[in-house]
Amino acid sequence: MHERLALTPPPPGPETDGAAAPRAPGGPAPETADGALVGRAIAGETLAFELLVVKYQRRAAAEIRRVVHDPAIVEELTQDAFLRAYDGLPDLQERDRFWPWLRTICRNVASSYLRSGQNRQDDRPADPDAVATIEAIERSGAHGSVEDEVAARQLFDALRRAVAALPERQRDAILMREIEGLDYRSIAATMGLPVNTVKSLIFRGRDAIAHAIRPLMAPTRARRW
Amino acid sequence: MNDETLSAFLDDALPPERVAELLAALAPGAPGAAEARDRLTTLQLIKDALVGIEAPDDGFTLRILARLAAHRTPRGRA
Repeated sequence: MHERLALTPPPPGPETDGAAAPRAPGGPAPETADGALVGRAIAGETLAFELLVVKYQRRAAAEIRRVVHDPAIVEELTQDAFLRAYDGLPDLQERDRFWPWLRTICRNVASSYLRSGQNRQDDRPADPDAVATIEAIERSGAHGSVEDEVAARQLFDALRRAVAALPERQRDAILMREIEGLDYRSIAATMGLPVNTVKSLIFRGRDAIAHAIRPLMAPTRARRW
Repeated sequence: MNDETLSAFLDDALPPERVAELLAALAPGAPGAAEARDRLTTLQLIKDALVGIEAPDDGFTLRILARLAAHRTPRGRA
């Protein structure tokens, strides 16, 4: 069972968090999966927003890390950014452009922090629920440590080695997708292959990388979302 | 939930009409949800690492979600 369940207040039903009145979904029909998740999150579907967190958390942290270097502050500001995003979702006009919007929030949060020059511990509201939750995380052992940082570094290095070991076509397809940001159709045109073949190359390449790093991920499996 | 679906979601190539299927597969208590979440986490880690974004420790996600959970409570939102 996931630790998340122990940290999240019991929901009244499987689909909504039930804390506040459900927000009206409204808006135009989504053209992307992100847009659909935003609509569902606005309607109160907790998991929809959590999925956006999982997808964008590292990119958000990296955006903040451009201007703030203390890892603890970066993490705290990343959390702040997602809280702001959650509250601001109903005002998001282009739901299919969640990431560009979140990136702007991250930049604003980081800029505000730099401008304030205040001690983060002093300016945080004393919310007893939040304090209790953070304490529960620390008791659970999910709090970051030096060992965690070393493990993360080892994982990162292993990933790079696994990419280098991929068959050429898999590596090319993956790098065109990730480094150049090309979509499947553009990669297919560049490589002279059908789109489905490109999808398969990318999938098989990622699967090979995942297989290579699996031993490094196993020890902390119980601490994932 | 097969890995190609998870991969397509992370590549912004999953049609919006398949989001319900994705959420159902990842929902707490759904058969195979824990494994699907692990696979999604791994695939996302790979994507981020390839563009040079280092992985925070494993508790990073839990801590964000915990603050969100506290924030969503009526007292947290007050």
